[in-house]
Amino acid sequence: MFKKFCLYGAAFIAIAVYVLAENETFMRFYTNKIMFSDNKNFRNDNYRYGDLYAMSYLKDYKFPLSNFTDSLHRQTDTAKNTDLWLIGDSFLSVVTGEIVDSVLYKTSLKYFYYPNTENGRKVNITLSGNRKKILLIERTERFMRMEFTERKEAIKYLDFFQTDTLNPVAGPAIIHDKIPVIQENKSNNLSFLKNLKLKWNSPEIVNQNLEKILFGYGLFTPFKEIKAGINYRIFNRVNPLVYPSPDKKNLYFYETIDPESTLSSFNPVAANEIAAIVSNINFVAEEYKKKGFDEVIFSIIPNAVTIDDPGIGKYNNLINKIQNNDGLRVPVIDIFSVFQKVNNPKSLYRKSDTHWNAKGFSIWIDNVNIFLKQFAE
Amino acid sequence: MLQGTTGSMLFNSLQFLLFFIAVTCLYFAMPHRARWALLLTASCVFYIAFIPRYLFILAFTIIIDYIAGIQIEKSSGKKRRLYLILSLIANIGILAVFKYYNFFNNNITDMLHWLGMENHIPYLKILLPVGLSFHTFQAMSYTIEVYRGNHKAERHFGIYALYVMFYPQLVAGPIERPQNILHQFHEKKEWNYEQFKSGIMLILWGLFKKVVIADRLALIVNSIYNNPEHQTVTGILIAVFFFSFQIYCDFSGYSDIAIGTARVMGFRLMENFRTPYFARSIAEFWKRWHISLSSWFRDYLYIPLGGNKVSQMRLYGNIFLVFLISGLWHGASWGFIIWGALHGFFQVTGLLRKKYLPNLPKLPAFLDTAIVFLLVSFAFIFFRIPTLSGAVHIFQGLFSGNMSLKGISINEIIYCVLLITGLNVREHYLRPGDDRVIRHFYLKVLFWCIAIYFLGIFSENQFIYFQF
Repeated sequence: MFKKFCLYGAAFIAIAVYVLAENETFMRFYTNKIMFSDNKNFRNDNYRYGDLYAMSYLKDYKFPLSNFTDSLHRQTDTAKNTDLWLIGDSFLSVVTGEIVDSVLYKTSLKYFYYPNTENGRKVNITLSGNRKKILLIERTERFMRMEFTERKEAIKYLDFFQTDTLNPVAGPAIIHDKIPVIQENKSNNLSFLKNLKLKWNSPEIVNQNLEKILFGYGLFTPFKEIKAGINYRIFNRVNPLVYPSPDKKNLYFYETIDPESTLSSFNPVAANEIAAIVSNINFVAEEYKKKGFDEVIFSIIPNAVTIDDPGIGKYNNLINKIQNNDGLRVPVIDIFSVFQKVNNPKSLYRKSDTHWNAKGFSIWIDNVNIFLKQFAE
Repeated sequence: MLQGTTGSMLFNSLQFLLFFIAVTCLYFAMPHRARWALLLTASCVFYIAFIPRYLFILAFTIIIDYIAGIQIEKSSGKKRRLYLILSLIANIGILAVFKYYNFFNNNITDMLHWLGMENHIPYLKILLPVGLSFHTFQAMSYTIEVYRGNHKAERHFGIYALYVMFYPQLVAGPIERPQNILHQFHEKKEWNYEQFKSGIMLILWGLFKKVVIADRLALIVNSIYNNPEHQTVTGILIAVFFFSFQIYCDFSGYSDIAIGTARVMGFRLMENFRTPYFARSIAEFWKRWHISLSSWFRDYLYIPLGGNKVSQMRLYGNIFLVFLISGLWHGASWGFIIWGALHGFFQVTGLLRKKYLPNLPKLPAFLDTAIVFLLVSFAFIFFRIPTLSGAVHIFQGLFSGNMSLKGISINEIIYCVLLITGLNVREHYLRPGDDRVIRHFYLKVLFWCIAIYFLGIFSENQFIYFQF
């Protein structure tokens, strides 16, 4: 009897873990739990040392993520007549909406994080009143070709802010990524229990989730680091998603290096592709202006390798080709040139993460504020 | 044609680990009368993880062959033969549509194009169901054995379905015979600790071969074969020899895990590999490599064609034909056909040498083994690169005269050679999977788990033979 009980128990546990790994709601809840646990052995270290570290587990590149708030100036001098709408990507998501809100020169901010549209979340807004309405679209270099070469992709940008509605949004509407990257969510909500269902079509995701449930704890990090260290030191192999810089001081996201990838800084870009990108940027800006915005501005954030190590390959000069294109009718905040002029370019991006650090963000914010002040005056 | 392996429950995944624990525990907790239903359900879940809708194809062949088996047993004379033919047509027909239709259509297009004409036969936009060739051949062996009177028709539909679908060997064999496995589903299996230990050790050894050896070799082999036009002599030679061990470890690793998984529950599956690279002739190689397939072709094709009781010329022709079909079984491309033809040629040449040059001096055993290995490795070039243009690049590289080693870590090559040496020593002298008392079981499990984790490559690599 006892043997049967044990067998059924083991089978139940195995099936339960499997079912939970299939469930998105549970995984969100669980990820939050292991991200912010006070117990060092339980806590998942991935989110503390950068996404590239989390892919590679290379101890040589294990740098704690710096805090954005320490070196930033809160904006006390607020524009009285300017509202800012912002479509940002993970470069702003890592900073968090609240911080972005506190350092920008404007009256109010409506911030929207890019991937939310994929989940059907759209923001209903009303563009009325006398205040100036600016839309700032911030996008990383590596996504520009993917999202602006084809009209059918660019048109998705028009879905973010729905202006054909009468539902007003009062005050700042800061919408974050589904799983907050930095912010702590202490919620103990067990609503996932109502939403358990089996999916049969995503074994890769289930395996990733199972890895998180079974081995995603700080307790296992030393083993992962030893394994990664063996492969790196003896065979010079790292996770294929990352690429150690030539001076071995930081990591890059491999897609931004790979000459075969359109996400790469070193994949040649043809003149007609640049023309298509420019035309689609113009199109998105014009459509938003028709909806009632006074100005639409663009800011392309360079890939880390574009600034830090452009000599790794032959840089395709994508940002300059877009920004300096005669056909471009949209104002751009040229952070590329500003970053290039910084004395120590390697000081702008995190060493074990795909995103910028506080200094890089701070320089960007200063340039955005200069533009906003000019516009507000 | 697209391969039907988008998303799958691989033996080297955590998903399978939980699946295996759940099914094995439930198997021993449940009463005997319910076990067939459990295993059948588990096998459906396992297959659904690949492409759910292809379960219907399996169901179709299972129903056809189940009915055919009973009708063959009941009838006699021409009717008996007719039922067998209908069953074979159904099975081969599915193979023909899903695996070969587009290949032949493609060749017709090329031929008509050459004649300045257009091909109006439409292409099929279909995925190749995973493991189709394996379970189709297993199903065919059932109806043939019932027809020959070697096995009674299975009356229990669930048990018959389980014979075709038993999850450990569903997608990549071993291709079982009804005589070996069907009766085992009727037997009440008791928990046996020795069998459990033996099964687990076999699973761990299979996993080691797959994720530590095969997937490590694949890193080097793929980097060379994926860019054949930019390779040097040294690089190509390394890739050719490493691929022989990669495919062996990949496929025999899968077989070991399958046999081990079944053994934990008390089932005995047939042996599929017996240190093939120690063979001293091509004929011997095929008695040691993919044994369940080569014996299938021997029993159901070679012997019905007349076996060795025919004229010399016909014997050579039959051998060549069997190997040609064996190549085509592996995949619908000229590369596989050439691979099969080469093995047929090697085999016939061996026979001719025996007949016409019987007094040639005998070579030392190691030289025989080395020659067989060289021939097998050479033929594998067409297996690894199924396009003729790719194979041409490889041969051009072989004769380029450039001996440099670019882009490959020397440390990794040395490590791979050590792994291959260890593999051969262990398999030749220690024969893992043998029935013997396993001492220090938990210590050994711990050792293998640590070795697999720290040395393994975990990137959800498919097993090569899944595509067949």
